[in-house]
Amino acid sequence: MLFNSIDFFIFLPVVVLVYFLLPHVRRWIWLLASSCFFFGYFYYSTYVAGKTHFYYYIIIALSILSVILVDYVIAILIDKSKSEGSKNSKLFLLIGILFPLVLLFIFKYFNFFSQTISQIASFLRLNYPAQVLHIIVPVGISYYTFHSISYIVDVYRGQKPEHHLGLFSLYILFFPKIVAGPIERSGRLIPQFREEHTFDYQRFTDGLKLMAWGLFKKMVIADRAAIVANEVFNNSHGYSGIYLIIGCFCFIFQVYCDFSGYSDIAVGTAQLMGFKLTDNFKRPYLSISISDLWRRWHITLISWLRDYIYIPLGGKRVARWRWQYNIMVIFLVSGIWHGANWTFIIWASLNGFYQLFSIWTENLRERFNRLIGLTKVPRFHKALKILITFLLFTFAGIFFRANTTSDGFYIITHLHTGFGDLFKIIAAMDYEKLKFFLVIQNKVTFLGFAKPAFLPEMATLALTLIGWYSVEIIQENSKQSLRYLISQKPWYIRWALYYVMLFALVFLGVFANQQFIYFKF
Amino acid sequence: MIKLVIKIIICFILMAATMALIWVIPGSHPHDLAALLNKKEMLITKPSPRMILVGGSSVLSIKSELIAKELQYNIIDMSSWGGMGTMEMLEEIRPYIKPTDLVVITMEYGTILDKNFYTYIHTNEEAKKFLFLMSPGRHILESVKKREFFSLVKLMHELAQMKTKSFLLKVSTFNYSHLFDIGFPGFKDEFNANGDRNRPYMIFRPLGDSKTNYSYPEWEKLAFLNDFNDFATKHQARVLFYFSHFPENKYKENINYIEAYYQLMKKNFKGTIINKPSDFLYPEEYFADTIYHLNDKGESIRTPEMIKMLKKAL
Repeated sequence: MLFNSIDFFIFLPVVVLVYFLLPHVRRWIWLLASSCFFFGYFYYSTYVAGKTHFYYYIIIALSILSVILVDYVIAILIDKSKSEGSKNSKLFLLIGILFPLVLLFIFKYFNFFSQTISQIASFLRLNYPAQVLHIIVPVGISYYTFHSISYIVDVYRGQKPEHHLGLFSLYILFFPKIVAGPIERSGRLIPQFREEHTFDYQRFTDGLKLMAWGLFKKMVIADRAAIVANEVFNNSHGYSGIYLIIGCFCFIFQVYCDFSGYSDIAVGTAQLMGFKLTDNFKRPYLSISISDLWRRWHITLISWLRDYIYIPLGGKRVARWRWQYNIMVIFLVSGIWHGANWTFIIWASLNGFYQLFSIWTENLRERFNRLIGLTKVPRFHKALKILITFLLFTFAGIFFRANTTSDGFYIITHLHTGFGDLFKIIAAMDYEKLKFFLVIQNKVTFLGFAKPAFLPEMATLALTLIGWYSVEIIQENSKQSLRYLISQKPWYIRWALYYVMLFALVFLGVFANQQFIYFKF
Repeated sequence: MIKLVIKIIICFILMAATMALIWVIPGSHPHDLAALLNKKEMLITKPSPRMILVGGSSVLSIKSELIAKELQYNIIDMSSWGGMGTMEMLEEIRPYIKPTDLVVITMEYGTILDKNFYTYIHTNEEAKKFLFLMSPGRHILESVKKREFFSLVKLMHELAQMKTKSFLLKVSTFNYSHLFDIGFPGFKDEFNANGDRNRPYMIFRPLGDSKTNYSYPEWEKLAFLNDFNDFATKHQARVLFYFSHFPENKYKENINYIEAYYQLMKKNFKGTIINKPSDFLYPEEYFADTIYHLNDKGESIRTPEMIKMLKKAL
């Protein structure tokens, strides 16, 4: 079930209403049943009789069930063996980590791995035909795998295991976060299932506002930018410079608004019932460096990688080369986690390289900034750093979105092409020539839109981007959430802002039920 | 909880009121088919004697000024896209038919000889939206009678969205003088005073072809032409029908189906048929981008031929 679908807006009120009507001791059953329904509905809505084999779904159900059961038992065994002073705890830990990882590998990476081996074999003139598994990748597999691993490791590190199978299952399957996070730690979420939540008007409306803001980012910005980005990236060889650049920027806004929009809806949905999920984004496009950006982007994934990979590898408390190696490992794991495709690995490597490059050149850049006087104009300097960080991230993002590595390389090598006399035409403000220059011959659409709709859609995108960016800047400067800032205003200003938000959603939203990008991870 | 429910109801009322407001305020819809609204204005305002051209986009590749000059008629070219449906379009123009009006109809071969396209025409949502704009009151009543409330709200919402985005563009580009223009925003640029295209279609090769699967026609699908003819006769108007231009090679490939169509029309149609399908056959060089659109050269040849046939029929 998609958060931006009518189905969800029927499902959610029913779940929330029944949740508050039930006595506390029965609520977990309701939430678990609702979560199973929510998860199963994805497959029900995509099932095509005669085309999709039903046993695929049985395999998916069994795989997630097995992850829950195995991790549940393993965690108890780890705790038991630790309390008994047995050395088996390490073995259990290994099983608990490997089991979901093996499933993840089979479902998500086996075909990629097999094809890569086959390509290498063919390069070496060896005969190894790629074995392809015809299976459906379970929705949210990367997320629930990370949930289960963190749980096992936390228990190994001393956290008490959950003996209530229902609550543990709910921890893995909780519907607001099952598909695309946030990646919650068991120590934070499971205790919340035990707490009794009463209906709190303030908390409830706050959750609704957060959901509305998430929907705005998804439906008004991301889904509109997606039309351009999809057109350009899916037909990249048909486009040159200016279109490729527009496509890249549209994608970079799409990916953020899509994912942070999803996260806001997830956090808001949980908040309606009294649960507090972790914020996944903290205005990353206002970051002043790549390392700053990665502290603000997909926070729960990055903190997971930090706690369960980076720190066990030694983190920063090792030799300088080893620290840099650890950084690169983190980025590579992040790339592989995103998808079984070389494009993600290149994307992650580029981000890792940016990070290392900034470490190597830190002193040099400081000296250069002082030399040209940038340090004397801190505001301008900060704006410049934000711009450069954003552009670097946008450039790496080309590989995140490109369908293949060759598409990605085509795009980066053609960003500068096809400009011709464009700058002269713009300088001369020759609108007719500009129109002719921008029109793509023999196409009834323009960058994914019907030609007459292109300008109104772009004006809508530009205006809503300005609105969203202004909100980000206000929040960044005030260090307060927009909802808090609004709540401090008189009622008429509050309602005017609510009206603008609703108006944008209803009259400017794209109602095409587009899937969230991170659902495929 | 009650406070929350009240606030949610207020939000619903606010949005419903806003939607009503957007519908009431004049504004344009950034879509080619919204040109129908501008053409409807012509139907309302143009004086007699009038020649109303109805058909798909093939009708737009004609030099209407020449016809107007030669035959001394005020031309109203109501054509836009074959996918709109001739039957639906004739329904829309009925209220505006005046005595002495001459309604000249054509139907591209694909619209009647391809069963899939025929089904598509009468079910496609895009056409429905703009036919709705032609006479919203009638369509609302029809939807209410059929209890199609959800699709009605969806359609009205989509049209309101289009209008909103158009307003937004005009406001953001300070184009206040055209804020309340109706119909297609580029109408004056792309269409002339007769509702015909200002510029001929551009030439592209290979010629676009909607991959028509030809089949033999059935009269039930054409019977509406006689209904309209009866209506027009009752209102002292006349209906003429002609077979559209077509590339020679395509005609030869599908001659059996096209001839069957001709015979069916000759046998059953109560109005006047002014040509045979073979009259408007041209080599590919006279076509612009698709097998339906003539280029400038094609228009220059076809228009005088059309005038000759119309003169004969009048």
